[in-house]
Parts: sequence; C-alpha cells; structure tokens
Amino acid sequence: MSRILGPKMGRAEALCNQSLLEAGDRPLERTLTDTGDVKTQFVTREGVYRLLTLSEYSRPNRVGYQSQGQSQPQVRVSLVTLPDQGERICFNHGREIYVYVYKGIKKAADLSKPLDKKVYKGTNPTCHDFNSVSATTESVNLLIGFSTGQIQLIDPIKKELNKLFNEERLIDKTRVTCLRWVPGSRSLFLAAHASGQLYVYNEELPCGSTTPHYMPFKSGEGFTISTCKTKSTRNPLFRWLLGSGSAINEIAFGPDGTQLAVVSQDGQMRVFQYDNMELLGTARSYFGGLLCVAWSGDGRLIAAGGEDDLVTVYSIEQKRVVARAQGHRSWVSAVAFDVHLEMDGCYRLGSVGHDTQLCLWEIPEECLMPSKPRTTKRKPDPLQLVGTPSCPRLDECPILETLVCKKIAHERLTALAFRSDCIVTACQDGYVYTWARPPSHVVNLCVGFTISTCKTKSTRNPLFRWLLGSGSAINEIAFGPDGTQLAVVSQDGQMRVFQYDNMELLGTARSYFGGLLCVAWSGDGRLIAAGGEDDLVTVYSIEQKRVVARAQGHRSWVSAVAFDVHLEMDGCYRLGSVGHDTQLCLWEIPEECLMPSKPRTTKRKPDPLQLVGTPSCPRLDECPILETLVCKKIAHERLTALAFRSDCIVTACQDGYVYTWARPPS
Amino acid sequence: MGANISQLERDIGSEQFPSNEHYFGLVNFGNTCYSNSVLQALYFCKPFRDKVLEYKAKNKRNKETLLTCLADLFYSIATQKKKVGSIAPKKFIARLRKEKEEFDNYMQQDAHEFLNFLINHISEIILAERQQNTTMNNIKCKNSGENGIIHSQTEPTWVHEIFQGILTSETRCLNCETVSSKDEDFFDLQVDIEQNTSITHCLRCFSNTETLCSDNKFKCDNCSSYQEAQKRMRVKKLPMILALHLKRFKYMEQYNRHIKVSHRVVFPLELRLFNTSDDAVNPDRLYDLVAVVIHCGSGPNRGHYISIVKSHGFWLLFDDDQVDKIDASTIEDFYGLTSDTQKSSETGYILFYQSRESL
Repeated sequence: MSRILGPKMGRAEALCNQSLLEAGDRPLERTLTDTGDVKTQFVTREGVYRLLTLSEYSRPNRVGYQSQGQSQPQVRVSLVTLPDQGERICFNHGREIYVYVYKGIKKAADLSKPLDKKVYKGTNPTCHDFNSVSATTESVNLLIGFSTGQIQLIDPIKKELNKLFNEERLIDKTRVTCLRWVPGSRSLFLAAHASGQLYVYNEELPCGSTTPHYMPFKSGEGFTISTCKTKSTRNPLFRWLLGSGSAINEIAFGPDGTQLAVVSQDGQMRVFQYDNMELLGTARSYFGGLLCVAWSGDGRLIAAGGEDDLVTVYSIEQKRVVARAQGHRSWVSAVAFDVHLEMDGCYRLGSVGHDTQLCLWEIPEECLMPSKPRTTKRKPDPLQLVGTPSCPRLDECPILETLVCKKIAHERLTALAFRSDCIVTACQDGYVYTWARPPSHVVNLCVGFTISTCKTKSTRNPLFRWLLGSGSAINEIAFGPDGTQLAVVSQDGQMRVFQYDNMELLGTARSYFGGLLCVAWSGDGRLIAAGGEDDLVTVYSIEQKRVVARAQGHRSWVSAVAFDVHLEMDGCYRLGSVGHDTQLCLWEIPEECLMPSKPRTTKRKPDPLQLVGTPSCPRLDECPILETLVCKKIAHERLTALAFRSDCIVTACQDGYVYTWARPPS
Repeated sequence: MGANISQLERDIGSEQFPSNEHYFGLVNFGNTCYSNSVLQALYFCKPFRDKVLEYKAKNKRNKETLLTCLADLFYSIATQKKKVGSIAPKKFIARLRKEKEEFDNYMQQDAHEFLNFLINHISEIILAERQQNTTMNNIKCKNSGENGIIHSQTEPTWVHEIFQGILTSETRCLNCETVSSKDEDFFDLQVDIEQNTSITHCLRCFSNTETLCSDNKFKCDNCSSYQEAQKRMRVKKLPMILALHLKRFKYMEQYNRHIKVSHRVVFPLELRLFNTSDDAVNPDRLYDLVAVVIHCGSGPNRGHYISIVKSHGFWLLFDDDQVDKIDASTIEDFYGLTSDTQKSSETGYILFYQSRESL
C-alpha cells in the first residue's frame, strides 16, 4: 500500500513546485547529489508537456501489491488505432496482461472495465502486438509472447479467438522477447527469442507435433536463414539465426514495412531488406547489449538504446553511426522518434531508461551530412570492433546532448510512444502514463495530418476526410498551376503544401504570428504567397522548402493575395494583395531572394516557446523584407478579393462592390 | 553435499565440462566468506591465477608468506583429481590472521578491505623478494588509503601488470588558471553510487569536476598560496583487470554507524570507460565482466559474501563450499533494489572486468 502511495506523494509535491521548474531547455550541469523528485511536467521549445493523472492505466485494483521477483518481464505497451479512430491499449505486468479502451488526453481512464485481462500461471507474458491491418471496431488480433517460449493469439474484443503457437516448446524453449506482425499482413508475424532466433509464423498454419527440421535457405555475414523441411507447410515458415545465439532484444519494421532492424544482447544492430533477406547494414553499441530499436518517420534513421547508457543513431543511407545521444544515467530500455515533430531533416528522438528518466534530443542536420573520414592515425583496434563506421570511437562521432532530461518515475521506465496529442510512457511497477503535448503550440507545431476514407458498403460522400493539425479553421486552399499540388492555410498560422494525388506533405511554412488567411501560387508553381494576421505576405519556395521573403506594407490583416501571372517572367514575380486596411499593395520579388541562401550562423538562444528561426518560420532578420512597389488606399471598406486578369485587375470590397481596374495601354 | 557436487557436474554436463578446470568451494571458518568470495573471484581472473601458479612453480623453498599460502591454495585447487568439491583454505586464513590483526578474529570483515590488503601485500612480498635477490636499494612501497593508491618507483611486478591503472588528476587554479596534473596509481577504483544508475554513470561521476574551496583549498605552486581550484580525475592507463568497488557502505552520522546502500546499479557484461584522459593510451579498451563479489544482507558487519564468476562461457555461483551453475540472467538479481522498503539485499559489491585482448 505504502509503495503505491509513494509515487503519488512525490507527484503532489512536485506539483507544488511547478513554479520552480526551469523554463530553459538546455541540460543543466548534473549534480552528484540528486534530490530525485519526480517531474510531472517538462518544457521543450514547443511548450509544456503535462502528466495527465487521470489518464493513468494500470491494473484495475490498484492496491493489490504483491512482492515480485526481481526479474519480472519488462512492462511493455502496445497501442492500436481502430478504423473509427478509437484506440486500444495493451500492457503486461508480472503474470498479467490487460487490454483497455485508450482514451488518451480526451477522457479519464476507466480502469473498472478492462476489455480483457488475463492472469497466467507458470509463465509470464513478455511482449505483445496488435494487428493494425485487420483491426475493426468489433475485432482485433493480439499476439502475446511468454517467458517460456509460447505465443498466444487472442481477440480481446470478440473473445472467440484463442490460438497457441510453440505450445509444446518444440520450436524454441527460450523467452519470447519481441513479437511483430509483418506490416500489411493479416496472418504473418515474427517472433524473436532469447535464443538469438527469429521465426516467421503464419497464424493460419499449424505448428506440427514434432520438432521442426530445418533446411538452409540463405545465409550471410553473421546470419543464417532456414526453412522448415516438411511435406505440408507448417510453422515456422522461416528461422533466422543471428550472430552466435545472443538474445534478440527487439525488432522493428521501418515505416514502409520493407526493412527490418534487429538489436541483440551482443551489442549488434542488423538491418535487413525483409523480403529478400539481404543484410543492409550493421551498427554496434559502444559496449554492452542493445536493448531497444526504433525508426524515424522517413525511414532514414534508426535509433538503438543499450547497456552503454547511450542511444546510437544510424543512417541507413550512409551505412554509418551518425551520432550518439547521451543523457541517461543507466541502461536505455525504450527508444522512439517523435514522428509528429519530424520535419525535413529535423528529427526529434526520445528514450526512457532504467534511470527513471525521459530524455529528448534533436538531431541537427549537420550530423547527417556525409562526413569525411577522420584521418587521425590511431592504432587500429586489435579486436576490430571500434573505430569503424558501425562503431566509431567516442571522438569520431558527434555526441548529442539532451534537449530534455527528466526523472519522471520512481521505478525504471520500460516503454515510450509518441502520439499526435500525447506521449505514452510505462513503468516497471505496471503503470502507463499519458503526457499531454503543449496545448496551444501543438496547433502551431503539429504538422501532422490524418486522411480517412468513408467506410460504407456503397460509395458515398465524402470520399476522403483530411484532418490537418489539431482542428484549427482552414481559411483558404489553392491548387498549384499544374493542378497536382495543394496549398492549405489555417487559422493556426500554418501553411501546408501537399502533393494532392498521393497525399504527401511537401512542405510547411508559418506566419510570423497569427492565422494565415489567404494563399496563392505563382504562375510557374515555384512560389506560394500567404497573407495573414501578421499584416505580412509570406513568400515560400516549394523547391527550397523555406520562406524566401516577407512582404510588408499593409496596415492591417491581409485578406486576399495573388500573383500577377501576366507580368511574370523568368525569375521575376509581381505579387499583389488587398487587406483590412482598404489598401492594395504590389511588390516585385527580386531574384536574389530566390537564391539558395547559406544558413545564417547567428548563434542565438533558441526561443523556448516558439518555432521561430527555422526554414519554415525564419526570424525577422533572417529573411529579406520586401517593400511595396505600390501601396494605395483604394476603398472605404476593407478589401476582400483580388484577381489579376490579362487586361485588368479585379478587386472586391466588404460593402458588396466589385471593381475593375484597367491595365495601362501597352 | 555429495548430491550437490554431482548436481553441478550434471548441470554443466560431462561433455561440456571444461578440461583442466576445477570448481571447488571454500570452507567457511566462521565469517571468512569475505575472504572466500574474493579468493574465488581472483582465482577466475585468469591472468592472476596463471601468475600465482607460475610463482608457485618457480618458488619451491620459500619461507611461508601470504603469497605462498595463496599459491599453495590455488595450486591445490588446480591439481585436484576431482572436478568439483570443496577445500579448506586453512593455512591461508591462519596466515592472514597473523599478517593483519584486523582480520585476526571471527568478525565479519569488509571484502574490499581484504582485496585491497591482499593485492598490496602480495606486491610488497614480490618487491621484497626481488630486493633480496638483487642489490637494489631504497625500494619504497607503501599503501595509502583512498582508492588503494600506491606509490612505487620500481619496475612493476606482475600484480601491477594485472591490476595497476593510472589516474591523472588535473587541477586548475581558479586564480592563475594554471593547470597542473598529477598521476596516481590504483589497483581498484572506489566508486560512489546513486539510485537507478549504471556503473557507467557512476564512473562518469567519479570523474566529474570538483571545486576545491573553503577549507579544502588547493596549494598552487604558481601562486605560492592556497587557492580555489577545479579538479577532476580521469583514467590515463586502463588496467588489464579493472576492479570496481561500489561504495555501498555509507557512514550515517545520525546512526553513528555505516548503513548499506542497496541502490540499483546495473552493470553490463561488456564495458568501456568514458572517463579517460586525453592522453590515455587505449581509451576504448573493451572489458568483459569476469567476476562479481556480492554482499548479501543489511549492513557491513552482518550478512554474507558470495561471488559469481564466468568460466568457459558459463556463470558459476560460489557460496563458501557450495558451487552452483547459474543462468546469466540471474545476474539481474544482484543489481540492487529500486525502493528502500527492504532492508536486506543481495547486491554487486566488487566488479572485476577483464580487458578482452587478455582473455
């Protein structure tokens, strides 16, 4: 009982001390005497993340603390989003497994009604995975692995399904360490074991009543893949043996589902092309086992945490370790990229560990530049382990310092997931915590978007629903001149540019402040102008993915913007806008603005609360300001529309009048 | 007892049982587990065992010293007919009690103090014998307390070759900014520990910059006066066997006694150091965990010591005369406790890491 109360007391105290929290985001010099109070909030440059005490998930009966053996399986968390946007959460604790409706930041957790709970005898659940492809609102497939090697498949909603794999332990007797459905598949899954072996199962096939006989299928440096040799097809379909039998600790498919990263107790990370079973690259911890692995949202980086207290960041394109992230005071048990804050070449990385800390890093672009190999002539390592692209020496590779490094629990942390509106962490004492993202800045920053289709038997409208950011009003949308690209401006100040057909986000820009009200494309489709509540017109280059200029001259909000495509010549643009100030403004955009600029090297303190000083929202002095060519008051009421025609300009006024302006006779 | 012996052989399997290897427990003579656990750990530090057995082979007719007793004990284990069993380190304990009065009783002793004494004492014996054999003069070798630092101007002994590392302490005078550095030898590092950390982190903290101020000022030669200064100690020479002593016994003024700190400090099977000096010769030396002395119980003067060792790829637990094969995953049980509710714990106390190239 007292043990359960302990963390709560700590949190209450921490809440009282909220005002004492430092607002800066630089790591503090660590002191030897850590007072060790547990944080319930932390600050990053996008704002304050807060622990939602009502969104704690745990066993329904919170008091029943039982003395536990020391070597309990790690508490892991699986989440799945159903087609109706509902979410389900599964976590294991000791001998038990729980499935709940996950309500995120919207509603408090209802622990009295788990969808499913199971208590096992003689074995402990160690890992689990939902099948997101086959999930419907009425049915979801959940795989559960056990400390004694068996694998169970259940449906915690429908409760009809219950299959066992490796039931007699004929396939593998060791602990299941990680389970993953093959991306896009309803039936294929991978099971990693402490024996260093990885098996491919098809849930529709039997496991057979005899020990499988294997036939070599493919092998490469440090791995051998065999198939099961039987007359009728049975499980496992394949056996992958990695290294010399060190436990596989975690496996992770890349975002496109074709690549597989595997980390092991021997400190190795191996990346495979999954379908043709080719080894694409390897990395190594600085020392000790690698315990966890995760991919960046764009599939270019892989992060692995381990017993060296570090997170090793590997570039799959460059086939080398590009950075090591330090900050943890003990082993790193879970790692994840915050794909919701991932923008072109800018990555946010997080991890939790045995030190009860959450650490966040940003990976600067410099790290990802192909580096020239250092020519320090040093004695090569006799063991050939260090001083290589897969395991550089300490001084051969950038060390990332934390953006945030906070003790957020009393027990070691075991799981981490970044969601669009929150961060989910889990603790070895069986608690799953939800941290709300900063409320206002989530809007400003969240470039995330979700596109859904309407799910009905007969096709109906709408065909698609695009949800941008977190629900700020969309003020205007504009297709590019070739019709393939779509620019959208919103009240959250964000402009998003999409490739319309494949729904890919091409780039983003942000107003200097306030909402963006109007948007227009240049005739050649290279520039986009957006006017807003900052009285400015922001000019964005789609090629360079940055704001190239800001046009000033208006005395109030800009309500309509347009390029004069009739006066557009190679690299010379005429831009016009009208606004609440009853003015018409015209600018010319000089060619210099469009030259790729070298990044300004002004070393300034990053603004902790705003995302300013980036390519999508430069600081005022980091970007040219255009002065007007023409700036004339042309109405008594605010102006609301602008169109450039071949022989005239059309403007409209809030009082309901539309005016035509003849161009000069040529 | 007999059942246990055959059990160990059965656990290992007759085919897997390494040839020329003996797993013998050591009989407890009343609170001598502090010695038994350290002796087992040292026996399975292969370079040390080899040198002790070599010493035994070379020095047949020496007068009895603690080193000859140790050599006889190791020799006796290594030449047993049986593969497993137990042996009574009677002569060694008797000699130990003669050599150092602190150990001449039936009280529980600190395993680290014993290790420190043993290693220093052995190196002194070797140096003394070398002095007898040659006409070398003025050999000075004395112990000093903190960090088992020893000062030796002579050619290193094999004990030095195995355990000795060098710490370099850099001190920057905050008045004149002059940096002075001083090297100190060590046989083991005594590391402060924190809750929920790793040995890696504790070693990093060991090398944190410390400010010398108030009544702990630094005597700056350049300023010719006591000044505030910043000091940090980093490892310049990485030893072949890195012995790490976790400072788990903390003096608490309010209780007027030492209490045990059961903090969970994880230690990996592989280790490299982060706290090496810029001029370190082999800063990325890779170490493997080979032995751990474990303290069981609630305080320094009560409780029990056992040890786990790695031998031929598997792990063994030595509990006085008992020897058991254990799974590597059992090591997890010796990291420590994350809460303070339990008084008693079984925690790693001295870690022995051996550099991989010497394995």
